[in-house]
Amino acid sequence: MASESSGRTFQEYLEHHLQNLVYGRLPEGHERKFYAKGETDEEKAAYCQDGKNMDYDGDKYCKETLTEDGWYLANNKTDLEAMGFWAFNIDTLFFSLLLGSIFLFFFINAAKSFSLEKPTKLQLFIEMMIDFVNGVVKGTFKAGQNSLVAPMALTIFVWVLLMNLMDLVPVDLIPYPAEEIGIPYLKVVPTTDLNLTAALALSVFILYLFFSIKNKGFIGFIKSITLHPFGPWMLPANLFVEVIDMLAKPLSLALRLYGNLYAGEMIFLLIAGMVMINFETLTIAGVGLNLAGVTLSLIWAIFHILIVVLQAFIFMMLTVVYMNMAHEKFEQH
Amino acid sequence: MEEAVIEAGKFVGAGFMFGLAAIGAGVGAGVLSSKLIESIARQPELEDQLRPTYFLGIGLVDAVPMISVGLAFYVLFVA
Repeated sequence: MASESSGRTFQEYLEHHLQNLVYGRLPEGHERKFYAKGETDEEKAAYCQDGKNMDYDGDKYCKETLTEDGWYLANNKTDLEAMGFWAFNIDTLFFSLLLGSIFLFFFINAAKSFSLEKPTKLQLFIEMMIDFVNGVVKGTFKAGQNSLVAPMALTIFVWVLLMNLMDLVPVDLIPYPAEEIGIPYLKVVPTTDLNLTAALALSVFILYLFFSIKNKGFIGFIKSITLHPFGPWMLPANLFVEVIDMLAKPLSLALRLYGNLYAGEMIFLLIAGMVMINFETLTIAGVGLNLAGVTLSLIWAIFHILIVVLQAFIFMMLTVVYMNMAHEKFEQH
Repeated sequence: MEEAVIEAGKFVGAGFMFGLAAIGAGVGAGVLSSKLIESIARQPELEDQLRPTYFLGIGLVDAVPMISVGLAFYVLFVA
């Protein structure tokens, strides 16, 4: 198993890969544990003493009791529980901002070096993408005039697509070297973190509410959620139905993207967990298993390309549809 | 004994999740595709308009069973 070299069981390997790198506040008196490297007890004790000046607990870990409050990277489950709500998923933030910067860098460059006579390949590719998004927005967004919708759709599409594409990077390629230099957890696909997809969906939802109120007026907005589908005499029922309908929008948007990418990542991990990486103990059966693992990974990756692009497209499409709903002025029922 | 029952329960539960997800997705994708073919056969000039909508629908149909499969794997191997 890929996990053997790091001394983990299959389950620990999966859990390790499904955990974000969390940065949060730990209280005074909290006991932190680190995995001790080495074969024998003496080696482990020496490792704990030398590197970090900590005690060895006699089994697997070095431990340290905090003498004051402070911000730390979570190292295991007890750390995570002690941190509670106010903690940051560093890896999600880092990779999403990095991919966002890459997106902006290429698009701004292409816009600056724009040329009608001698277009570069990058420019043509970006024009293709803009044409595609423009077509979708023109076809779907018909209820009003708003110059924000198309750029927003383009941003969402490209950004979510880039973040989803991180799923096709081999699962151990980045986290394994990162662990060697002392980063305890690393999740490279930002969209497999519910926090990010929920944040995206909430932003879309807030814009939906804003444009609804702006276009219908506050009274009109209240009317739209209270007076239909059943007419003014069934006001509580109308309110109930409309509020659920409204809350379902960001919820389904966030959970759809998260669920798809999470499931895809999970399957990559299961395939990777099957493969043998420890070359010293490699047998004929192990080689067969390796080949099967590589083949399965390849097949799933090829199938996953569809899901990756489709989910980015659906997120964009639904955003445009919701914006269209926010701009509808006269509803006939 | 109790552990064995819990372990068996995991497999039965995950089996239901896989199976029901497959049934639902199969029916959904089948209905969608057959309607697309019917519509294109009736009005071939509308194909360009129908195809994006079809892919949107396929994506929506595909999403829920995929989530179910992922959670089933989670139940089997992690939880």
